[in-house]
Amino acid sequence: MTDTTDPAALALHGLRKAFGDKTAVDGIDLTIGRGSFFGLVGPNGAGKTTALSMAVGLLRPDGGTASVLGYDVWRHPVEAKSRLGVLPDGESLPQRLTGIELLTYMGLLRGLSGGLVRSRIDELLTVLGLRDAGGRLVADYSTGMRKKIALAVALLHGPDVLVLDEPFEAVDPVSASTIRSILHGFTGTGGTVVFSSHVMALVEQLCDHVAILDKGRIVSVGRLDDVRGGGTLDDAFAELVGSGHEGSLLSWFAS
Amino acid sequence: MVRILIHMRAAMIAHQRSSRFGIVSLVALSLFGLVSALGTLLLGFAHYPTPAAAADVVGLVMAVWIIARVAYAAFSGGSVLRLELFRLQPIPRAKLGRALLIVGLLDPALLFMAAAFAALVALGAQQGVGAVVTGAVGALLSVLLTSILVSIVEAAMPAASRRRQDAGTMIVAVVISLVAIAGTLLPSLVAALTGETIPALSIVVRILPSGWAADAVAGATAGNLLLAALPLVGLIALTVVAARIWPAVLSRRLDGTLGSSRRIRSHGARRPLLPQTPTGGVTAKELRLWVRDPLRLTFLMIAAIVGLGVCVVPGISHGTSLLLPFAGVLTAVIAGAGGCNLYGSDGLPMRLTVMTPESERADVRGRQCALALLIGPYALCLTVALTLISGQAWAWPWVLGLLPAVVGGAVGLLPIASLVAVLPLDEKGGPAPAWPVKVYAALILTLVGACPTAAVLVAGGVIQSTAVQWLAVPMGAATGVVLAVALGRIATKRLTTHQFDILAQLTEASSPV
Repeated sequence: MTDTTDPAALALHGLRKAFGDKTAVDGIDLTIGRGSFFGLVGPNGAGKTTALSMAVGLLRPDGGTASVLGYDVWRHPVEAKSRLGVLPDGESLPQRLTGIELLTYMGLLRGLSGGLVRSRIDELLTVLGLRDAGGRLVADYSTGMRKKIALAVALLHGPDVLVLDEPFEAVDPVSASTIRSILHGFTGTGGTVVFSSHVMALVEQLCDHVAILDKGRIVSVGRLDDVRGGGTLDDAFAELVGSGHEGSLLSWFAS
Repeated sequence: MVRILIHMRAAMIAHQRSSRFGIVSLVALSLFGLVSALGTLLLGFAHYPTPAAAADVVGLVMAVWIIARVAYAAFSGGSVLRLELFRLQPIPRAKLGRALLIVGLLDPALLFMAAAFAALVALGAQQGVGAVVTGAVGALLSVLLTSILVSIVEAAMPAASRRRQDAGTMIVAVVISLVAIAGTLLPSLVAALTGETIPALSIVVRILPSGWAADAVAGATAGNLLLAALPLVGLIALTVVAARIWPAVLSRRLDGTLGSSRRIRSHGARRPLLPQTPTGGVTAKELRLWVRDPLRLTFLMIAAIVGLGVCVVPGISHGTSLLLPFAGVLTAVIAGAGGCNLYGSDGLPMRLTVMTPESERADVRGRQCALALLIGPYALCLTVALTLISGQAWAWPWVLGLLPAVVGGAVGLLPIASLVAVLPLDEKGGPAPAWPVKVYAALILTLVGACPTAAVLVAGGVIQSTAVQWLAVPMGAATGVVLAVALGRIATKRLTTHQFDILAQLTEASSPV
């Protein structure tokens, strides 16, 4: 039922998902240890979002299992989700609530007391630089501000494992630096961060472990230094996934 | 370019995802449109005391068609072809405008309208060739004018501007409500126009451009060339004016000058009125969304206007206050039915509920509490006030029995109906075509929930026992509580077991894989 012998923060076994005749995720096995800062990289359409959605219990897989700290997300969703913090994308936020209202209701729904919710919101908004925007509707937020309020939603209840899909997308450099220090602080206290990104430099800078996903399969996984070998992650990525069409010229450029 | 746009529009319509329920509903709505069109057409074959009365009746029904189509254009959130797509295209605006107007003529609703407006031709056929030609020209001009107005309204309601769309939706909600009330009045109004008993109404129908084509047919019937030609010239002039306005509206839309200003909401440190619990949190969130979400607010406004209007109108048209005490009951039924698709209309924020462990019960109960707080006190106050005003003492057990039954039924039905046949918003953020069908089903089911109470009231009436009729009050209260609690419990179970399927459906509707 549950793995009690020092279970992994996140463990995926044979995870599969197909949409019609298109296989999005094709049997992923992944074990992410506690305290890791884990990066999941891959080209567009590689299956990163689908894999993470199944890992956190948002999308039912066709096969395989996913567990958080030993709790299967489908058989023991309450235990698993209590320990998870997931970054919702911009579309998943109710547009007609203010940032403060959104955090208040999510905190109360998690069973936190009113006083605790208020104090955490205060701290989160201050740290994320959203204090002045807390009273504005989410609909009026920029993309970067939505990322930050979504991160606040993920952090509010004090999770053990954070799963973040593209957390730095459209975030300004100052806010990105703030988020990085928050996430480092989180892993420093034993928390685990799993995040997907297209930006290799960011993954190299933040992560100690990395997996490269291509066409729904893990093509490489391990410690950052092992995956990139002697070169950069960019080089390893290009070698494993294949390069694009650098140097190509469109036929009508010359005309 | 017209051909490309037509192909593009056809491809977009063909790729719109639709559930089996959606397809069935679309067929049902098409049949409704067809029957309505044939009904209007038959008005052209009826016999009237005078040609003017005939023209007035057809003119009135044409007004309902035109207003309904234009209102829908505003409500639906824009055209199938997203105009922003053409912002960066180096196409002269005038050329683009002309092409879009031609594409707009391929609206299926216009086909129904053309069939309905053929009533003018039928009307003319009773008189002679001249009247037939006048009717045909008038009908075509009316359809053409409507098509241009639809394009203008769609362009004036930019999808990208949430605030503007919200405001527009509110206005449309009022228009739709008024049209709905006019619909209930239609038989009385047609009778009044046929009998020429309300001269002011005839004047209004003739003054409105929607009645000009019918006026022209009346003129042709009377053999008066001037009266036949003048309304048609007026219609042509209006069509030209609308066609001249169109490029300017299109340009403003494409240039982004129809943008909205941002509004900052202050957040005061108010003391929370509701309990700081999971259910209290959901209740407070839902109360805010009912007020801020234009779709939800639209339903509340329609419920308030139609609920009151339908019960007040008979007092105006027939001098009877028989329905007045039931305004609160009707309002509660309509408002409840408006919330029959909350999970579909809320969309992807459902992920937050799914990711929050053991939140299903709080989510369902919170939504129920919010609706009860919104409609319960209002409907009760309305019922008491209007029953007192009507002076119909016999109605007290009826309304006090039926009200808790329908409020409880609506509160019970809200979450379970929202979790069955979930209809995601369409790509423009508007309600799916099948939505009205679901609303009507919810209306009927809410009324079914009040049947036991109604049975007690009828039984009391049959045996002429006021005491038995008063038994309907505890009966209604008990029925309401049982429905709210039991259906809420079923909804909680369904949310627990079906949340992933519903979420997958919402995700697919939002961003197909």
